[in-house]
Amino acid sequence: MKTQPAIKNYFFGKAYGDLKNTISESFTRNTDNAKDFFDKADGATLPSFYWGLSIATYVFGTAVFLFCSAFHIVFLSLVTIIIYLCFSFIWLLDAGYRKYQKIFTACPHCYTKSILPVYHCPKCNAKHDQLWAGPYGILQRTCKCGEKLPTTFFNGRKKLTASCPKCDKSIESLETRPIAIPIIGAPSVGKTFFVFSLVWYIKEQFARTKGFVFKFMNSYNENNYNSEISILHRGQYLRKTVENNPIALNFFLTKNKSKSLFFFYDSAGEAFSSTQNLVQHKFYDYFNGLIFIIDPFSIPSVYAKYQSNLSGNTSIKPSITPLEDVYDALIINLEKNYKIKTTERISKPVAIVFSKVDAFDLQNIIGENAAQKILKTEETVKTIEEARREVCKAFLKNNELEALYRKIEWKFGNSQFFAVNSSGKDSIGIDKVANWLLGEIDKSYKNI
Amino acid sequence: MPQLIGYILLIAAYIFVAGVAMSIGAVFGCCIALYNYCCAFFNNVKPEKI
Repeated sequence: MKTQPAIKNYFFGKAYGDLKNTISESFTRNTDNAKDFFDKADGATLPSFYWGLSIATYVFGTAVFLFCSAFHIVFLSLVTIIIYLCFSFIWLLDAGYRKYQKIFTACPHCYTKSILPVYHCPKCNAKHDQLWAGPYGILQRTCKCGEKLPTTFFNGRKKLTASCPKCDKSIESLETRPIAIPIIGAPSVGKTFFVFSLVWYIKEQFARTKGFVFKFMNSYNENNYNSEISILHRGQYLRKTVENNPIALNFFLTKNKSKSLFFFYDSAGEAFSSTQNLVQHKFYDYFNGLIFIIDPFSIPSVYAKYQSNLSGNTSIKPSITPLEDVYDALIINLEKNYKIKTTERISKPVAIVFSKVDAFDLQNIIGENAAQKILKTEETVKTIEEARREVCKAFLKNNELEALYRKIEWKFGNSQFFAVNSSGKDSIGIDKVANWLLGEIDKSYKNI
Repeated sequence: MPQLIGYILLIAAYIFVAGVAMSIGAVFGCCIALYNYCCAFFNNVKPEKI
C-alpha cells in the first residue's frame, strides 16, 4: 500500500517495535539491578546478602523476564491475528461489494478508470488515494491532522469530497455503478440532438413509468441539459459540439438499492476522422453499450436521391463524412488500444441508429412504418426487432453498403437497428433505443 | 548418638535457613523482574502520537 497521509494502525507497525524495545529495556534493567547488588557487596558488613540478591535477580529475574516476554509475544500475536482477521474481512467485504455491484470510478473529465477516487480530508484537505481497510485503519483511519475518516462503503466514505487520481478534477459519483455509453458518429449526424432527446426520454418517461428516481450528478449537467433541451423544444439548432474530448453528461438512476450513474459521451464528430483523436477516449475500456448514429444522407446514393429536396430544406444538414470511415476509425481504435482482436466480436450491446428519419419519406423506408409493414407481410419475420433489422439491412443493401452491414452484424454480436428523429419531447423512436439498450445493459431495466 | 542427632539438626537448620533465604531471594528476584518489565512496558508501549 502506498504511503498515506494518515497514522498507521498500532498493530500494523509500532506494536512490534514496542515489543522489541520493551524486551530489550526490561533485560537491561534486570542486569543493571543485579550488577548494582553485586557492586554493593564490596565493603558491606554482610556481603553474602548482596551476593544473594544479585544471584536471585540474575536467576529468578531472568526466568520471570523470559516468562513475561513470552506472554507479551503470545498476547500480541493473538491480538494481531484477530486484528488481521477483522481487517481481511472488512477489506474483502468492501472489495467484494464493489465487485458485485460493478462499482468503480470513471472520471467524466479525463475518462480515467480507478478503483476509488482520491478522497479529501474534510479538515485539512489531505489526499487519501487508497481509502480502504488497511494498515492505516480498518473501519476508519486517522488523518495526519487528527480527523477520523471512514474507510468502507457502509460508514460514509462516499460522502467525502473526492477527486480524480489522474486529473485532480472533482468526482461526484458517490461510489455508484457507472454505465458508460459513448455516442459514435460523423459530424452533423445528430449526436447531440440524440443524446439530449434520449436523456429527456429517460428523465421524463422511462424513470417515471418504471419508478426510478432521476437526478443529475451536478448542477453543471442539469444546467447544460435544461439549456439544450429548451433550445431543442423551441425547434432551434443545438450548438455544434466542438470538444473532441467532451465532459460526460451524467445522471443517477435510482430505484430501491439499485443505483447507477450514467455517462453519455458526446464527442465532436471530427474526433472520428482519425484513430489518433480517439486515443484519449479511455471510456472505450469500460463502456457498457455503444450508440452508433448514422445520417442516412451521408450515404451518397441517398443524398443523390434527395439532393433536390435537400437544397431547398435548410432544416436538414446532411453529414458529408463517409459512414465506413467512422466505423473503421472506431474498430481500429478498439483493436489498437483496447486489445480487441480482429477476429473477436464485441458482445456489449450496440444500437445502430439511423437519424433524421422524419425527413421526406424515410419513415416508410427505414422507419417504424416500414418495420410494421414487413412484420405483417413477411412470414419469416417474427418480431418487431427483426423487422427493424430487416428494413435497415435492406436500406444499406440497396445503397451499396451491404458489406458494411455484414461487418457491423459480425463485429457487434449484440446489435439492434433503429430509426429515430431526435427532437426532445417530439422525438420518434428514441424510446425504443433507450428501452432496448438499457435492457441489454442491465436486465433489471428490462424486467420492471 | 546425641552428637549425631545434633549434627542432623544442625544440617536441617542450615537447609531450612538456606531454603528460606532462597525463597526470599526468589520472591525478591521475581518482583524486581516483574517491576522492571512493567516499567519497560509502560515506557515503550504507547499509541502513535499525531
